[in-house]
Amino acid sequence: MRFLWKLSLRRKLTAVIMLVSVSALLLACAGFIGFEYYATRKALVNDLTSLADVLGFNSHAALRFQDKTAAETTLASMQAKPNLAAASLYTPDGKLFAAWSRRPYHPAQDAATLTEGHHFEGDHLWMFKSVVHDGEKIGYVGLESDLREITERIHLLAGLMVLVLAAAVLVALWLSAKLQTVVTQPILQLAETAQLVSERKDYSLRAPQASRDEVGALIDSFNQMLAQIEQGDASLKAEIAERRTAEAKLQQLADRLEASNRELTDFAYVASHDLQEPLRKIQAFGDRLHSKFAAALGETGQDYLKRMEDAAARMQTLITDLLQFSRVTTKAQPFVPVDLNEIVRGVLSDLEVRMEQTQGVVEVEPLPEVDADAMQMRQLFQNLIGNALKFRKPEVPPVIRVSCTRHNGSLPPRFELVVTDNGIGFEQKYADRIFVIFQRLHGRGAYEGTGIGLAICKKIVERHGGSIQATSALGCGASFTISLPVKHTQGEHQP
Amino acid sequence: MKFSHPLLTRLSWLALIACAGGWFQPAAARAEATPEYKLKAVYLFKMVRFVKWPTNSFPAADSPLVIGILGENPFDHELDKLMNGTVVGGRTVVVKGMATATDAKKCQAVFIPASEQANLHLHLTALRTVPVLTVGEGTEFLDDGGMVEFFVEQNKIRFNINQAQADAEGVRLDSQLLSLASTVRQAAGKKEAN
Repeated sequence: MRFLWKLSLRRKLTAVIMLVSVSALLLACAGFIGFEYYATRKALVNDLTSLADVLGFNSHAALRFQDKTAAETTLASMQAKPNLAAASLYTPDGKLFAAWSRRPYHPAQDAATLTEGHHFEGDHLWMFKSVVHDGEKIGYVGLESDLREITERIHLLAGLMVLVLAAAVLVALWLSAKLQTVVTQPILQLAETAQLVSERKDYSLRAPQASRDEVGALIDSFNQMLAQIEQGDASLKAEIAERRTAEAKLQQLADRLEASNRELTDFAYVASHDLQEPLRKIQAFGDRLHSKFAAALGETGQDYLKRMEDAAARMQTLITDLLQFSRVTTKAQPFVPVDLNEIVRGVLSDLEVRMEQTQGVVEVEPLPEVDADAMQMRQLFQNLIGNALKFRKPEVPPVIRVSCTRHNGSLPPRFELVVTDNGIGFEQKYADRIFVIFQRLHGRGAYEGTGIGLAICKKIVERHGGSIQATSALGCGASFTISLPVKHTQGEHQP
Repeated sequence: MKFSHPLLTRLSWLALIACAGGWFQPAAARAEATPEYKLKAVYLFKMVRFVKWPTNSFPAADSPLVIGILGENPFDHELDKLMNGTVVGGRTVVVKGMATATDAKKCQAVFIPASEQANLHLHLTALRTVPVLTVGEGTEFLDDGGMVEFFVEQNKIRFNINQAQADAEGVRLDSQLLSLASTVRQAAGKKEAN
């Protein structure tokens, strides 16, 4: 039955119908012929038995009186039985007494070899029966029936069956071809619709509703599903359109933001640059005033002048810092592979004097190579390590650790660089504030600096698509964690 | 030594009586039936099987079927030997010699041998009123009112039947018996068969 699976639905159905009907017909025919064969033989045996009884009865006197002529007359009356081939009578001791046969024929001479009853032999049925008269066995009657007629009848019947079978097969084939469409048509239409839907992506198509049966229910469900998909498709499209609009708006906003940002940076750069010129004049004339007219100014005048010069110097620092801050974007270099070990080594050699002064120790673990702006990486580590040296505990030599771990689990994979110190630390609540430009946690007298370093660090890290976080507690050192992407898939990150 | 044992003596006497009764007589020395009568005895013996009598012809349900021989018995012991212990239609068959036809009325079948030819008419007239199968010899037996007559034809025993007579006396003869008869006389108006 395996071959059935490979056929198309139509052929499958036809094959099933044909197989079922032909097997049923074959079984019925076989059963009918078998029954006919059995019934005919049984009827024949019954007929022959009663014939033997009648013949035996009619031969009572002939057998009693050993009247061969009378016996032969009785036997000859069997002529009327068309299927009877031969009939004979035997004496009680089994000797042939009288015989009749339709054709020249030699019946069994010695009945002693025969057993009572019937037996089939080829085309013949033999019957041998004792004749009893008045409770006494007075002889035997033997009959031979020709089976050719019933054999022919069975053959004819079988031939007829073959003809009927052939006709039935043809009719079944024709009928199944006609009737199978009732089943296959809706399914094929459904399949066709499904294919069209998948080809055209047109969810407005519907399979034609044909019947009220399970296939009809299937088609209903299919159409309902199509309707749901159509509906979902429409709402999805609407949502996509909505999102696109929102995205466009967002892009516009981002563009505007970028423009204003650039404007702001330009402004900061230009402003700080241009501010230096008048400042230099103030400082220059301040110097001259100091050197040429110091005596004329008097003590109070000199004090004022000194304060003015200090303020100018502070302003100079502020402007320089501001310029440096704005340079993170204005003087940015394209990303190249940068070996951070080398960067940190350079920073450490720059800070060598301060480290000697403070007896500081910097432990550096092996660091990776990253895509970055080398100058800015250097500035980043300079600021972080510099800060660590600067905010040390007064009597404790600073110990700084630089380490790196790679996180492949996050997407995209990132390096996590950690700079830890054993300095004064700060309260965790200021962890965000320290990255804001010109924000300081200490007075100008305690620690030098304008409060721009960490703001620059934040700006650099953000330009590299990363983030920086600080964790600390007052008096327990601080830890700065920088997260940088391993690879830059798309250009520079806009801050 | 003593020879006169009582049992032995008695046995010798028995043997002597037996010899006197003809038990050990040589066949040649006995009065024996002719081959013709032997056959007739067989026929007679077989014939009674194809005859039905009215039930009132038997005194009781288990009464024997009596075959009487009128006058001199030409069968000698032949018929007795055949009939010995035979059961026909549920009745044992008994063969008896009959002196007169009046005696023979109690029989079911009577054989009247040729030796009674002279008294034949008388006998048959006497038996006409009772259901007794009358079997005789010669070609005039039926004419005198007999039912079955044996005759010899080409060295064979044949018989004729007067069915009309048998019917009249209530003796029913089987059709197969009739079919074996050479001629069958039937009642007036009926066609004679064979």
